[in-house]
Amino acid sequence: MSSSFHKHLIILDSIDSTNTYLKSIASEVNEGTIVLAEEQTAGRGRFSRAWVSQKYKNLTFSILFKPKTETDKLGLLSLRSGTAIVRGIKSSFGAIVTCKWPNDILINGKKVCGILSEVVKDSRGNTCMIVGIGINVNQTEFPVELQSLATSLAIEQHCTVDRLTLLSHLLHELEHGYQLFQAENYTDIIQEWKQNSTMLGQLISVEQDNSIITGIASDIANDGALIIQTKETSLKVYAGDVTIKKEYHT
Amino acid sequence: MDINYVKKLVRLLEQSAVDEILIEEEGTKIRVAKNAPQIVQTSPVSVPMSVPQPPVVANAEASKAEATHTAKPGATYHEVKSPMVGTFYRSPAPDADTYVDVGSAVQKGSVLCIIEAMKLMNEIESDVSGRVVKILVENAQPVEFNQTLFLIEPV
Repeated sequence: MSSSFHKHLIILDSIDSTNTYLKSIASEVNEGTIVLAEEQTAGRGRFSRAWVSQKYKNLTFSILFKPKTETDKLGLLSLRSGTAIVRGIKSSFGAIVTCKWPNDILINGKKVCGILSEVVKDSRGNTCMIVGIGINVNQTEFPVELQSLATSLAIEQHCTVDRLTLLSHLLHELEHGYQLFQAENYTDIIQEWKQNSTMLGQLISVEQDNSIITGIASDIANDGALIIQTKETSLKVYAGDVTIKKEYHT
Repeated sequence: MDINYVKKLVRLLEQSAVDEILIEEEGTKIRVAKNAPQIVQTSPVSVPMSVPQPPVVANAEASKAEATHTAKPGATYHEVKSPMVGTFYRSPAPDADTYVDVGSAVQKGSVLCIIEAMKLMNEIESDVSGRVVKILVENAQPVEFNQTLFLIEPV
């Protein structure tokens, strides 16, 4: 364990966003600090899209890392955070959980967890990476427009889940993943991600700004980028909304 | 600018072992380089070797026009570079205000943009106080490691 990594858990009843709150206190707290909120009034995903979660049902929290690594490697820690959640859920339930690049977590093709990471500098100029995690745990009702896209552990496991036990597993895995990252064990990070995903080899589309790329998800590059094989060429993708179209058989 | 002059420079470069020719005269900069990825980053006028000549010339004229509105010829500006490969965003969300525009005053530590990679949003801060004189990348476009994103006139 890193000597500077002290798991310090701050539990709030309600906050605008755990990521925003952790960013605001990042200079004053150690890495390993976790902010968990029962309710986020302005929870957000990529491009500030709303993350909606029923109060007291789920797990929404952010964890702070202060890595000394070069900034261009931090995308791998973002990937590894997704792997950590998959491993944590598997260790609790043995459910068939998979990663969708870069770090959405799916069960039976539906999203059960979203992760949004942010990098800022604290007042001393240290790099702070805040990994925000939202997991649908015991929520069993979703808005109509999300019912085909979202699920929860309770729905998939047909039982109520002990959130504290799950959180304990997840934090253990997140810390383990950070240790791998700090040890610059990047090859293992990529391999573990692949072992916990079923999307490689499948037909996907990636929506970026106003364009859509369609092709086969062929591999993950050493820097964490998704490699897509289109009809014309092979592309490295660093950002975009990925949709898995269907199983692809050659 | 005499387009034939640029064409001659391109031919001269092709036939030589030199990688780059940089000419500054009367407020106009011309940079002709064999290494295309670096060209857009530092120069108002650029002619990549691999690009057909007609569109390149048009691009050079457009760049020159923009340069006269924003950056003072011959002035030295501070370059803010990308610390990672990713996608460049000028605002935190598509419908949100941009962090900065050309002409914006910025402090050391002001957020200039976001670079996204693997759903990690990296806020890029200005490392000097000053004024934004040029934004070298379009919104939602890919950027390379160490690519220059902004020119800042320090105060």
